[in-house]
Amino acid sequence: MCDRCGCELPDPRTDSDSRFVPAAVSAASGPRVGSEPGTDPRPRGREIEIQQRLLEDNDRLARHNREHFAEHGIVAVNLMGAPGAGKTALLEATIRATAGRWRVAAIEGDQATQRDRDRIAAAGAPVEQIETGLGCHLDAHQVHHALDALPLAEVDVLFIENVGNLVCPALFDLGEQLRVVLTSATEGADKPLKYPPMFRAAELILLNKVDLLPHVRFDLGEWRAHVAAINPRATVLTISAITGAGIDEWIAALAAAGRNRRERA
Amino acid sequence: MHELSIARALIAVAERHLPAAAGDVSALRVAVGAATGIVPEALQLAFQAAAVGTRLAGARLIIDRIAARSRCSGCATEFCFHDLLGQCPECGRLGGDLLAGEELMLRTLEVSDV
Repeated sequence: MCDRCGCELPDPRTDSDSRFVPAAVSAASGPRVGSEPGTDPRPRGREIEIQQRLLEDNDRLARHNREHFAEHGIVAVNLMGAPGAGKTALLEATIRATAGRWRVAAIEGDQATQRDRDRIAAAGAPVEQIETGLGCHLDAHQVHHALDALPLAEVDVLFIENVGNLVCPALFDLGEQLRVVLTSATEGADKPLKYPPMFRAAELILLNKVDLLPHVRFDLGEWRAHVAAINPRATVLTISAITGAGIDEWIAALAAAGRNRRERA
Repeated sequence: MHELSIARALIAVAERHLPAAAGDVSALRVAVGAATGIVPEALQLAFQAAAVGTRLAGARLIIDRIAARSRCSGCATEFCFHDLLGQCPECGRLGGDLLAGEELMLRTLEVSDV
C-alpha cells in the first residue's frame, strides 16, 4: 500500500529535517536520518533505547483520575468544542433538565476569568474553575487538582468543560469515561473535515444551535456525511441548549454511558 | 500551540530515563505520527526553549514523522497519508478507520559516556 502513495519519500510541503516512514518499518529499527545528514560536526555518542510515550505522565494521572471516578461511581465527561459552540449553555440546560435526578458537578477550563464557574454555580451545581493562562487545553494534572475542591461523594455526573479549542484538547486524556465534541450550526458544516483529530477522538458528537438552522447556511446532510467519514463509530445528536431540543436524547446518551460503566465495573 | 506541552512532557520523560551516569545528551529521537496534529517546526522551537536549564539543553531533536494509515470506510482499502485527514486512493472517500499515525514516542537518547 505504501508504494502507492509514496509515503517513504520526504514530504516537501512540511519539514525538510525529518522524513515520513511507514509505522511498520519505523517501529523496527527506523532509518537514521538526522536533521542535516553528514553535516553535523559534533561527535556521535552512544544511543540509548527509550521507547516511551511522551504523554506517559499525563496518561498515568488520567488513570489515577479514572480510579477516583470509579471509586465514587461518577460518570466523567470531557466536553470539548470551539469557543462559542455553547458548551456552558449545554451544561446549564443539562443541570436544569436533570435537577432532582442527577447530582451534577463541573470543572470549567478557560484561559482566563471565573465567568463560567459563576454561570454553573448560578445553575445550582458544585463547580471548580481552572484558568489555564497560556495553556490551550486541560491536562490530567490540572483536573486532578480540581477534583480536590469538589464533593466527589455527592456527584453522579462530572462535566469537564475543556478550553474552547478544536485542536489541542484532543491529545490529552483527562481520565474521562466519555469524550464529547460539541459543534454548532453557526460554525459551518465542514468543521469535522477541518479538525479531524478532535472529531475522531469523540464517542459522542453533538450539533448545537439547531434552532438557528432556518437562519444560517448550514447543510445538515453534508455535516452528517463529514462526521461519518471522520468518525463512523460516534453517536451523533442534534440539540439546542436554548430551546431544549434534543436535550432528552443527550441525557439518555449520558445515562447509557453510566450503565456501561456499571456493567463494566 | 500544544507543542509546548508536548516539549515539556518530552523533557520530563527524557530526564527520567536518562541514566544518572550518562554524560551530555547530544540528540533525542522522537516519533511523531502525522495524525497527531503536532507541527514538527513548532515542536523544535518549543523543545529548544523548554530545554534551557535542563540536562537536554542544546541537544538536537530529531523528529521521525510517522505516516498515518487508514482503512477506507467505503471500500476497505488501506492507505497511507501525511496530512490529518487522508483520502482513499481507490474511491476518494475521506477519513476512514485510523490504523496508525497517533504515535508520540521518545525513541532514543544519544549520550556521551563520561
